[in-house]
Amino acid sequence: MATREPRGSRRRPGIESPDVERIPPRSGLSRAEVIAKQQRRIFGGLAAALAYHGYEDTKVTDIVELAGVSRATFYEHFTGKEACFTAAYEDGVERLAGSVEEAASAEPRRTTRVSDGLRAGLDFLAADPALAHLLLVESLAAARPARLEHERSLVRLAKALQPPSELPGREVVPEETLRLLAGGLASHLSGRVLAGEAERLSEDHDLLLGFLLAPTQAADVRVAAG
Amino acid sequence: MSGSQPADPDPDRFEPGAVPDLPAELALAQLPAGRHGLPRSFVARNQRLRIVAAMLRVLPRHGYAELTIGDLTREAGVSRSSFYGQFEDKEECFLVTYDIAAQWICGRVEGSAKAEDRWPERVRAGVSEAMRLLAANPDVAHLLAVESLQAGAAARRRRQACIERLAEILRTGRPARAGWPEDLEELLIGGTLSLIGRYVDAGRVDRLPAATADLVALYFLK
Repeated sequence: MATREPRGSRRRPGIESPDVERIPPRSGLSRAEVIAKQQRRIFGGLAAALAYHGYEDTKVTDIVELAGVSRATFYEHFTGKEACFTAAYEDGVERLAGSVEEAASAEPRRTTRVSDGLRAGLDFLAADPALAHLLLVESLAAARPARLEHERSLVRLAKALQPPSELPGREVVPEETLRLLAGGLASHLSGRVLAGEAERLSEDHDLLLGFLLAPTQAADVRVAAG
Repeated sequence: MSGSQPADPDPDRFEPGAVPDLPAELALAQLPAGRHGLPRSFVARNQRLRIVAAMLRVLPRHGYAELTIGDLTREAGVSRSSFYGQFEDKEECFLVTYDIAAQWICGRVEGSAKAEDRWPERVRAGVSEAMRLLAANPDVAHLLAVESLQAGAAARRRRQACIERLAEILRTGRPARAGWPEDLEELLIGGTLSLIGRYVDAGRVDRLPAATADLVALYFLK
């Protein structure tokens, strides 16, 4: 267990602030681009604060300190911690799903597709442990609306690993099965992240691939033989 | 309702007080105020179990994070000092409640599985028992599937231990198949628990028994 500094001092030994890209005045960026960059910075600050303090204990002060933005800027974007969390979660899932879908879509064969998509997802999470913590640990511990959002994300990720529907001989995996596989995956990954092993998630690729393919392995064999 | 017939309690209804040495209805009854002449150890145990039962009932209403000691003592009908005489804090009370509930359901599932000789029947019996019991006890389903993620690191370790115990039941006697990962059962149970959480969130715990056949088919991996 990491020992925490007493409340109030808020020194965070051992963590570095996330890389902050400052926007110079008259940068030539459009208003929308400035907003997007600021939000991304705030999300980085939130993820770092959550990984260190946990959701309950994270204050807006921590987020703005770690993000390197003013309180006023924070409140221009979000009404508070909850709204910021929801937006950061959606942004993180969007990027995670984007990398999984991109890697998976290139491959028509199910086995390769699942393998490539899984690898892209694990690499994505391993590269950003604070975000992995936000997506896999804090989202499950959050109140009900966030949990329901998490549900939809799990199904979306599971579907990204399915073969394209136009493929001949395609075995349709029922949604309930997909849901269970995604849940098992998330449960396993969240255990690893909690154990402080987020950077090593990619090592679990083969284990998790075997799990994701197991329910349809028999079916695939039937298709191949037929 | 079977609750009105104490002589024939519902065997599927989880009662924290239903421990071997103390009948449930005796353990959970609120004791008369003042001098009742009951031994101190009996009173303490009665209070402890009443608080555990209250924790179970109050969690779905408030959620662990929002839950206060006042909610618990009001629901249990005990004083604050009685609460702190039994538990260090909210977390300890939660963990004790979790342990009792998890022990109960794992024991029952294990018992039904062990009653069968062949692996497929063992799995079928265990899953069916688990789904039946969770449907009959929505509070327990909520505690095990949802709140165990909300109550801090110790609770999450308990959840993991529960997954491992159920995974071991599922693994015992499974025919070996090449290419299947070593932790397959943990992953399947983790996924099942997460699926149960969805039923809980949707308020459809009563439908869990209907999911038994699909779950069994999935555990058979065919």
